[in-house]
This record gives sequence, structure tokens and C-alpha cells, in this order.
Amino acid sequence: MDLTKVVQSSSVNTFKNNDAWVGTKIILASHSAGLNIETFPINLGHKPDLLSVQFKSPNGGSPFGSSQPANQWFRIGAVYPTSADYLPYYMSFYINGNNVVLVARAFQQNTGSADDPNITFGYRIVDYSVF
Amino acid sequence: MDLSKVSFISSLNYLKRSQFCSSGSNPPPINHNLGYIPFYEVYADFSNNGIIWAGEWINEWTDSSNTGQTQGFVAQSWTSTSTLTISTQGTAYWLVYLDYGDK
Repeated sequence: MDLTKVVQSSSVNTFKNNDAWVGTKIILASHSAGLNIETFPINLGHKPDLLSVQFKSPNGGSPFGSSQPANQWFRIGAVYPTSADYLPYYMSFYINGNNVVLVARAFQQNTGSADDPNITFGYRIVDYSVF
Repeated sequence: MDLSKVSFISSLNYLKRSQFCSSGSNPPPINHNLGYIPFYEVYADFSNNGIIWAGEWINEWTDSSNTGQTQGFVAQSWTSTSTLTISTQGTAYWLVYLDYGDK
């Protein structure tokens, strides 16, 4: 089975990488009970065709059971705070016009005595177009 | 020579499928040794029934007991500049792409 056809079919057979956006963002502390979402728009300057979006957590962990180490680049997963007392942030993204909006989401069941600490996570966006 | 007339110019940055593309259960770490973080895809046939999911099996959470829930499967993966690691139930499918231009 040729899985390259799952990614995207095209009349031409390759993609060109136009540019890369690599950096860090800070998930700010202080959350309330319930759903907490923080967004981080990255302006690409144009509407993307095909993207690679990856995240890097300064701390290890996975909400799905594996022992993912720290500082690895992942597509599906969470950014972990240093202390297990705080919630992991599930990471995702969406595209809005020329922007890739990175999304960090945590569901806090109750407000603790102390706010979550700030967490700096890495992002890596590569923009491809049909070549 | 007007290279813009050439349909494929290797001096430009482009994406090409690498030899690190395969499938299997409980795959060992894949040592691509590319020296950069590659574009990669990971899919999974969670139930080995021929249905390949794009990393996550989105389903309705169901009570597995009166004390908990069962979450849909997720094919976990992460990469460094040298190694792609996959952790999933069922059969994993992975594709690592060569990103010429080293962006």
C-alpha cells in the first residue's frame, strides 16, 4: 500500500519547502476551573499549501501512556509542566487565513492553591507548496 | 541555461520520500540520522483490521467500568535529529521525508 497517496495526491510528485518558522512561546500561568485554551498565531505571510507543525516540550511525559522523553519533537501530544501537580497542555493547531494558530488546551477540574507555572514550549512550522 | 524551464531542479529545496518508510508492530527506534528534524507521518492500524487511522482513533469515550473510561487509541511518535520513535497499539505505518534544503 502506497501511503504517500494518503498525505496528498497531486499531479506532480514533490513539494518545495518555502520557509520555516522555529521558535518558542510561553504558556502563561493562572487558569480557572474548566477548559483553558491559549492560542499563539504565527503569521506566514500567505496561505499555506502543506504544513509540517511540530511541538517540543521542555519536560517529558505523554497523556497517552508512553514514556516520551523531554525535548523531543512531536505532532500529537502535550507540553508538560515540571511538576506533576500541574496539568499537561494538549497541543494542536489550525489555519486562519495567513496564520497558523498554535493551540494549547488544558482542562482544569478545580482551582488549586497555586497557579500553574509558565511553560516555554518549542514550535517548528515548515511550509511546503507543490513544486 | 534558464533553469526555470527545467521541470525539476535539485538545487531548490524540496521534499522527497526517504528510505525510512515501513510498517510493523512495536517498531524499534528508527535511526534516520538526518541531522535535522524531518517531516514525517505516522499512521496506525490499531485493531489490525485493515483500517489505517491518521494517528488518532476519534471515537466516543465509553465506560469500561464503573470507575473509568476508555479513550480512543493514539499513535504516539516523536523525533530528534537522529531518531524517530513510535509507540502505538496495532500496526504502525511511518514515512520519513528528506527535506532538502535543511530548513
